[in-house]
Formats: sequence, C-alpha cells, structure tokens
Amino acid sequence: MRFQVLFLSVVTLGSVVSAAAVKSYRHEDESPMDTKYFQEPGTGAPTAHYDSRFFKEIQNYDDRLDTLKHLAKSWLQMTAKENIETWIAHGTLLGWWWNGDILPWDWDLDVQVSADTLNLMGEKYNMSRHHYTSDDGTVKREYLLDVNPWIWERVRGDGFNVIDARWVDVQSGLYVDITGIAETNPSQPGILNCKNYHLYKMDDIWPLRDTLFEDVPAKIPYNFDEILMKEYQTKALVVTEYEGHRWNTQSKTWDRVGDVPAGKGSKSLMNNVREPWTVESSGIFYNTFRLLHWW
Amino acid sequence: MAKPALPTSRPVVSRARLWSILAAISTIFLVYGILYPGGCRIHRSELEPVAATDLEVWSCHPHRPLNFGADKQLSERLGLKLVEDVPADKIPGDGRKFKGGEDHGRVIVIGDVHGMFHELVSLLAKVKFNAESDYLILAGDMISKGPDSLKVLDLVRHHGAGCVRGNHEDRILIHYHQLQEKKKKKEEKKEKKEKKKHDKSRNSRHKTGISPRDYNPDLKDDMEMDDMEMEDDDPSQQFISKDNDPDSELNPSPFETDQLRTDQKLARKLTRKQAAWLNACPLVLRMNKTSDLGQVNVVHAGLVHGVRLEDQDAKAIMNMRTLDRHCHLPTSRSDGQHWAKLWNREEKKTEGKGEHTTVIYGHYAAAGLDIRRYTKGLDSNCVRGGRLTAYVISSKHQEVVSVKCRHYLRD
Repeated sequence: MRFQVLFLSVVTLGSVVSAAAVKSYRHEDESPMDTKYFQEPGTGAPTAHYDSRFFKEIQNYDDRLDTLKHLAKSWLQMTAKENIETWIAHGTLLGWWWNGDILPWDWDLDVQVSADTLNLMGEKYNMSRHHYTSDDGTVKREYLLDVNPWIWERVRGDGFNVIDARWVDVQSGLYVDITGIAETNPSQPGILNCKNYHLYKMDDIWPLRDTLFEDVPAKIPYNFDEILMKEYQTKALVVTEYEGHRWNTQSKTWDRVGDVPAGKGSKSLMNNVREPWTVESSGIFYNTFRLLHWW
Repeated sequence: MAKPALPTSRPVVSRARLWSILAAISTIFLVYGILYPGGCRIHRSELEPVAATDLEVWSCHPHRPLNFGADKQLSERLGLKLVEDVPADKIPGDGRKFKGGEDHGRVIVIGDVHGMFHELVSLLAKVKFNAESDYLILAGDMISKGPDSLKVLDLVRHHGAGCVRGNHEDRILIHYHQLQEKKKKKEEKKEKKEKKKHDKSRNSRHKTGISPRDYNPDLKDDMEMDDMEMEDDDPSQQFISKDNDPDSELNPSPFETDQLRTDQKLARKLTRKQAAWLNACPLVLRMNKTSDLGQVNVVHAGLVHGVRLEDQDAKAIMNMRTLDRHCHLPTSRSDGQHWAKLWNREEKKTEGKGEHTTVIYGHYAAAGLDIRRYTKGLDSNCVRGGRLTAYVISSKHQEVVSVKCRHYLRD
C-alpha cells in the first residue's frame, strides 16, 4: 500500500511538473512574440492587416479597396520591370479565379516567389523604396519592399515569421504578403512548401500561366484550380454570398449588399481557411514524435 | 482490532484513488498540452465555427444545375479560345450530299496519340481515311510522352485536321510562349547594347556629322529570324538555366522535375508554324446536328452537365476526370463521380424531348475505352502499350476502330 502511494505520488509530481513546464513553454511561445519580425498594431481583422510602422488609422471600405488595388498593380509592375518572378496566391488567387480582381472583403494580398528569388530579393532589394504613379496619373504612392531576416529558415519554426517579405504601402500601412516556397524535405523532391505548411508540387506551379490581375499582366500557378480546391475546399469556388457581398452573375462582380451577414457573424473565409487542413494531421504526428522524443 | 483497522485503511484507499484521479487528470493535461500546443490549438478553434456557419451558407444541391463562379470568362483571361464550330459541309448528317458517295464524308475523331506516329498512320489506313472527303479531328494530347510528337503534328496539319487543346498541348504551349518571351527580351537587350556601342563609336568620331548607317528593318528581321532558328537547333540552348542572361539570375527557375525538363525540350523544338497551329486549337470543337448523335462536342477531358459551354471552367475542360459529389466541381483526380456518368444520367432524363448533346473526349486512360450513349471516351492508353482508337461518324452509323500500339512508356 505504501509503495502504491509512493508510486502514485511520484507519477503525480512528475506530471504536474511536466504540465507546468509545458504551460510555461506555451506561455513563452504565445505572448511576447520576441522573434516576430513584422509587427502589426493588432491581432485580429482589421488591425492585423496593417504594418505597425506606417499604421495611422483603419481605412474605410472604399479607401482600403483603392489602396489594395494600387498595391497589387504596383507590385506586379515593379516585379515585371525588375524581372522578378512572382505569382499570386491564396485569397488573391481566389479573387482572380472569380473575376480577375481583388476580393472586396480582403484586407491584404498574397503573392509567392521561389526561395531562390527570395534570397536574391533580400540581397538586392531589401528596404528599397519604390515610387508609383497610377496609369491615369492621379494616384502617387510609395512602397517599401521589406525582406524578413528570417528567410534563411525554410520551415515554420516558432510560426512568427511565416511571412518572408512585405510590399508595404507606406502611406497607410496596408501590405502584400510575400512568401517563398522551397524544397525542404530531401526525400520528397519536386515538393515545395512555404513556412505555413502549404505544400505544392513543382509541376503544379510551373510553368506559370500568363493572365491579367486588376488589368495588369500577372502570373498564376499552372494548376491554379487544384491548388485553390486543396487550400479552400470546393466551397470557396461555389459560395456566392460572403462577408456582406453577393456575386453578381450579370456584372461578374462581388457587390456589397446589406442582407448578407458580415463581420463576426460570418468570419472571413479567407483568413480561416488560409491555414490548410494538413496542419492538423502533421501537427499531431509531429507532436507525438516530440512526445516520444521527450520521454 | 478489526474495527479500528477499517477506518485507517479506508482513507488510505480513497487517498490513493484521489491520487490516481489527480495523476490521470494531469497526464491528460500533459498529453493534451503536447498534442495541441500554440498555433494548432488556436487554429482549430478558429476553424470550427467556420465549418458550422458555412454549412448553412452553402449547401450544394445535387439536383440544381450549378453555375460555379458563373461565367468568369476564364478562357478569355487565360488567353484560350473556348469554342469553334466545325464547318457545316464537313459534318455528316441526314440530307447532305458528299463527294464520292454514301460512305464518304465521315468525321474521324482520334484521342490521345501522344506522338505515336506509326500507330496513327496504321489507324488512318485501317479506317481507309480519305483526305478528300473525311474530316479528321484530334481530341487533344496528340503530342508529348511518345517518340514522334512533331511528326504527328506535321501529318495532322497536312490533312487539315481539326483539333482541341489537351492538357499536354497546354503545358507545351505555355513553355513555348515563355521561351519566345525570353528570346524577345534577350534580343531587345542585345539591340540596346548595340545601340549604345554604336552611339559610343559615333561619339568617338567626334560627331563628324556622318549619319549612322540606315536602319533596314527588313534586313534586321531576317537576321533575327536566322538567329532564332539557329538557336532552335542548338543543343547547348536546351535549358533555360544555361542562359547567360544576367537578368535571369534573379529567377533561377527551378526547372527540376522530369516533366518540366522534357516539356521544355519539346517546346524548344516546335517551329513557329507548328506552335501557331497548336495554339489555334480551341477547347471545344462543336458539330451541330451530327447524324443521330445530335450536337457533338469534342473536348480533351470533359464537360460538366448543366453548365453552359461558355460558363465551363476552361482549364477543367482539358483536365477533368471526376466531379465533386456535392457541388459537381470538376477535378483531375479520379476519386469522385465520373463526369460522363452524370452526363449520361442527365441526358437520359430528357430523352425524346429535343436534341441531345454527345461528348467525345480522351484523357482518361485509366478508365480506358469508355463508350456510353452520350459520351465517347477514346483514350485507350496507346503510349503505354494499349490501343489507339478512332470514333468514326458517318451519316448512317458510328463505329469504333482501333489498332494495337507498341509498348513505349513503361511506368
């Protein structure tokens, strides 16, 4: 009996200590964001979509959309001019799929580059500022290309530096997220991943297709539809009412309407489904491995 | 003695139980803490409400014809030609007269040749192809994989064949256009450099007033063309990575997979005429009132029933195999419902009421020769030692003719 009690106490003590360790580890992991390079004024929409350095105020619907359109155009024009290979991704690609434009409820834009391009971008263009004038000459903006010093790390790591670079509108703080994809697993040649567990087959990305986005020449992955279905499930290609907008089959635009719920009632599909489902399974396996390793 | 023993032993047991419960709780906590740390946990809690609300917002009704992303003009935005009509005098049908009698004036559709030139020649001989009166249609993927893509291309061009764009033509043509684009940029650069040099030498002559040699655009064009054609045959130029263009240094294109390499190689071999011919192939070749088949659409991979032709997903026409069971979204995977199954089921519902549409296609080698009432799947896997199949449509009847193929690809 004594032995049993002793044994149980040891087990309990051990568990409590471990649990406390895990708790403190998690605490460390979550709150201070010591390693995070890009800083935003908030963690949820809309403030998470501004760069802290340039954030002044939350823009209204029209200004934000206007800013995003010029962000997209300027990025595409600059990369074409400088011969930087880039293609549109995630929610931005989904917007292209519907009508070749930005999804009007989106807060940021996503583009991808290869990891090699990313490194060269870091060497050649980091912290460079670019001036932009719209085609009609009415809008003048300045953009900053900021490359995350953590680009050497090609796996998720602590998860705070999954965005490799940013194309920031210095006037408002809104930005384009730039992520690089690279081969990180030697046993899986031809499989590329970004730092947020998105996996791509090389043959699904290249050869890139030429198209227009926001009426500017742009590139998209070869297998864009399969990529979208994998990332967002088929629903993203089917739903015609979303975030206060309804798809107008006549004009082929997403119209802002009052009778479709927006905001907290229907959380943004783009932000939520951006994390693919693979996270869960690989997370569990990886963490079980960690558990065994710990022991 | 027995009496006081009980109260002392009882608390020990319950304390042990308490301990074990505590241990169990902390173990669960520990295991949970390790299994779902930080990001994943947050991510899960974010996903759950979405799954719930989305079910309300989008429930795909399997009986409702679905216009996914209705009319996105995808083909236009991808620079692809969606549909072309076969000239009426080439379509066999009732009441039409053909040169050379009743049995002539056929339409012969051949799927997925994949560069198997000899097989194509013997198949054409077997169906007694008459270039004068018969109209040949290639249902896509005539090139790539096999040994003689360019010979196949030249033969069908010679016969004035109709064609649709397959996924392989699509890939090769994208490579081709990008190579052309690169060449153009290179030329422009060269020109700029030469101009600079020229300006310099002019300056060094202390502006003597001698006008620079007249620029002869015709001559220049000829030279460019020679240059380009030479490059086409130059084996040292076969891979982009070997280009010495300093600008391409920024884009070390990771062309590393076998497919990308072989596709690029083939794209480099295409002549301008061959590429132009291929590029003119639409996604859908349409024949109205074809004998007793009704309207016939020749495509490479498939079509989704209930969606207007102009609303079909341009890329899926070249790639689909099955449909998502809920929303009928096309995918190239084979784990859904075969699109042809839906097509036949829906067409049969309206039997006897108006004209039907028959789809002739290739692409689905895994399903093999697949002749159904309203769909005709012709890819019988020639390049991997199967057969090369033709669907022959004459004014009175249709037949399937095929020849055996060499076992060229083994994987």
